[in-house]
Amino acid sequence: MKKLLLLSLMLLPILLVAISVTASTNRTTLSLADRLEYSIQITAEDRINISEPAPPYIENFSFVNMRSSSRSSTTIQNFRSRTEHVRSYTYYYIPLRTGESSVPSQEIRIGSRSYKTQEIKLQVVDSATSGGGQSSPAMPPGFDFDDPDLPWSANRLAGNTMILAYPQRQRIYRGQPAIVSYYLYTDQMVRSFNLEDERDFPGYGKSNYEQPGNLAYETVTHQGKRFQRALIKRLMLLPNDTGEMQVPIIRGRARIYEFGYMNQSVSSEPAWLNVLPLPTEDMPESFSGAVGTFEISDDLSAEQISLGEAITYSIRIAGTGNFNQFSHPELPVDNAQVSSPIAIDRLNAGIEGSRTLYYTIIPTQKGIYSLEPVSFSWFDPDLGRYLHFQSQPRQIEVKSANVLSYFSGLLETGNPQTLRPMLSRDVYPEHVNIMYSFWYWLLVSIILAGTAFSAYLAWHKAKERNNPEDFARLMADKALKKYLADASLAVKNLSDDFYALAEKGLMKYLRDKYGLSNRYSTSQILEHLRQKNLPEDTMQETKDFIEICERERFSPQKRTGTELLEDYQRLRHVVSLYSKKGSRK
Amino acid sequence: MKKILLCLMALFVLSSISASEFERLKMVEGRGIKNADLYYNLGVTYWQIGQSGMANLYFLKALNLDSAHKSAKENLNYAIALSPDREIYPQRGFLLRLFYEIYDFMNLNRIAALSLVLLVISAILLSWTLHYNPQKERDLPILILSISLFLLIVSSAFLSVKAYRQIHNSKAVLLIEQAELREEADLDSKRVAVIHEGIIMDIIDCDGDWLLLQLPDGNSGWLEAAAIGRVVEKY
Repeated sequence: MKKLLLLSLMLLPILLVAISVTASTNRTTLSLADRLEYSIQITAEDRINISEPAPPYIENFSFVNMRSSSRSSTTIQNFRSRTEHVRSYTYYYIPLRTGESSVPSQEIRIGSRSYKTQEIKLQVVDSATSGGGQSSPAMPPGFDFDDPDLPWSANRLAGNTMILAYPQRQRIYRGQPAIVSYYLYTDQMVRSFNLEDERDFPGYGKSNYEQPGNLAYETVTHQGKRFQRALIKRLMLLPNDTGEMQVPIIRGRARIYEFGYMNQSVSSEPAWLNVLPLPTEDMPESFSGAVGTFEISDDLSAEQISLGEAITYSIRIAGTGNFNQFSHPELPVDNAQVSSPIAIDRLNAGIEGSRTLYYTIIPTQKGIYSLEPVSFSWFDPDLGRYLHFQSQPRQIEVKSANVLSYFSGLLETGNPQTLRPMLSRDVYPEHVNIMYSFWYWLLVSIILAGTAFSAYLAWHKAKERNNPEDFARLMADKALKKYLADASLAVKNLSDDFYALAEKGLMKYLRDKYGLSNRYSTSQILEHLRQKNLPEDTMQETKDFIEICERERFSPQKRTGTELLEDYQRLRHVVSLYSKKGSRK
Repeated sequence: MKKILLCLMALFVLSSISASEFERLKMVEGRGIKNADLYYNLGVTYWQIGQSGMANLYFLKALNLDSAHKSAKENLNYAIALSPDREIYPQRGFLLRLFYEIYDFMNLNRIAALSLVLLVISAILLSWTLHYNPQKERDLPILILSISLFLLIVSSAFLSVKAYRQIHNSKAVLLIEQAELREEADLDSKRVAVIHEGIIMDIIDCDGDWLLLQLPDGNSGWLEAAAIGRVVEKY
């Protein structure tokens, strides 16, 4: 038990890894003339990584400012060094009314842990009953009031802060953009300006032109006095009426430091513009409301394309003017689909920069297309007259489509800038996939069958070439089979054609088998066979059978079925005699 | 006030023109006709009336029938470029784009015709080789035949793949303005991604009324089937 207690005591400093968060106020009872300083102090042994806590809401108090500071110190105690990091946040409030109030408990997150501050009760009393004497001014450190370079000085307690509106031009034309700059003029220490309201007047449209994020002062002289001046805002006004036109009045709250912070409401001084009407004489037909200083150029992506490809015609309007108040020029092309122009803007506040209009042209026929000149007119307020742009007439040559037309966009890495229009179609036939059609597979079958036949022929030829004797025997056997089949049929039909077929078949068989010429007569064939030293009985039986056949051919007699069958058997016997012998010896 | 009235009138006229053309196209489609130009025109019409999801679906349908439909492809790219989800579509290098351009250019009919021509050429070359005089060197006919057969095999493989993909096209498009992909087929499961109308996805799996979808960047998640349109209904 003792050991456990000892261990706990040893571990206690580690467990209490010193992060402490404390909250305090400079006083708990204060008068309406006093300022409340609410401070949060975070102390840690390690470097503190924390985002700034939000100022707490305190009822009956108005938050005016805050400041933060950090410090670190190292002390050596018992030969051990100890570093302490302190981060302080101080919030300044002004009491609004008397009564009781409290600073609520705040949750501060440091790393993964959160710490809570204690609630602090406050009491605001009338100045007469204030208990604590003179309140200390909530003056942030770091301000040197004796700095001679500053327009304000420590002994200055009052000053001038105002907003002045400066139109870029006093006299403008209707539709001409006008830029009005609003400057904060001050001889006090204005730390920030919070724009709260803009009051508009009839006769213009407007948009933001510029609004700086902070007050960048410059020293100027206004009505004989030195002021610090900072740009608050620039508005762009587009007058849509003529005559005197009052510019918007802006209003905001300036946070001024005069031995403590205070807010002061400031409005801009009224300012007017004189808006002139556009001259009606010499107004071009193609004028569609453009007022400004412009430079116009046009471009055609290609002058030679294939049918089915698209071509892009672009007009670039660059300069300063009322870009959003004129309509786009039309592009008339016959026998071609032309898309509505797509505008790609690189504009500042809608008045400065460039606008490029892209027209997509898709020719529907091949041939030479004439691109009519495109007209664009505008009023130049600097010159006080209308100007006119007319493009050069151009020609596009449209050739027949080819395979490469499909790949025309391959090298274009950017995305398409227009939507292609609908295709003009009167009828929509059912889509046909040729590979699912009958004739496609019929063609495939014919090609395959033809290939197979060709392969068979080649095989046949190769066989004849490689072994002519075997091939001859094979062919002879094949021919014999056919003739025997025919002869057998003739026997069955008791036809006298048997003898003619038998003789012809036998002779062909012998010619093929022994490689004899087709021109040889029967007697010549027999003579050649005799020379091949065939057995005498074979030769005799062949000769006998041939004689029967010739006799029947030249002096036919009516033969019975039995006789025909006998002669058929004789034929088979003769053939079998030759089948046993070799060939072409 | 006058301007507003004029704008309203112009909108009414424009919408009525679109509506009549749209109805005509839908009527043709209702007759069961499948035609790439019809699908393309429907896509353009859907785009004009602000339904980017349906527009993309019909552009995809047109491309499914005819992968070489250049207008459908360009309009689909245009719609993708304007989509809030455009960043998740992969950017292809030049060679890959060239391959896909060729792959798309060879639509099913073109590749079927090419395969047929290559088959004829191969058959002729085979006959030539088989009947070639054996006394002569046969390297040349064998080389030409090999090249032709190789091309025929490649072409036939592409034909098979294209035909299969046309029938089993797994592409789907989100038709509602915005949806959330879930880790599981359950509304209470963890959200994987937020997607917007018109995004093109692949259907990987199905579980009742839920579909497992793959986004162009490779991520996947479950979504109720009612929110999407499929390029091939049967799939």
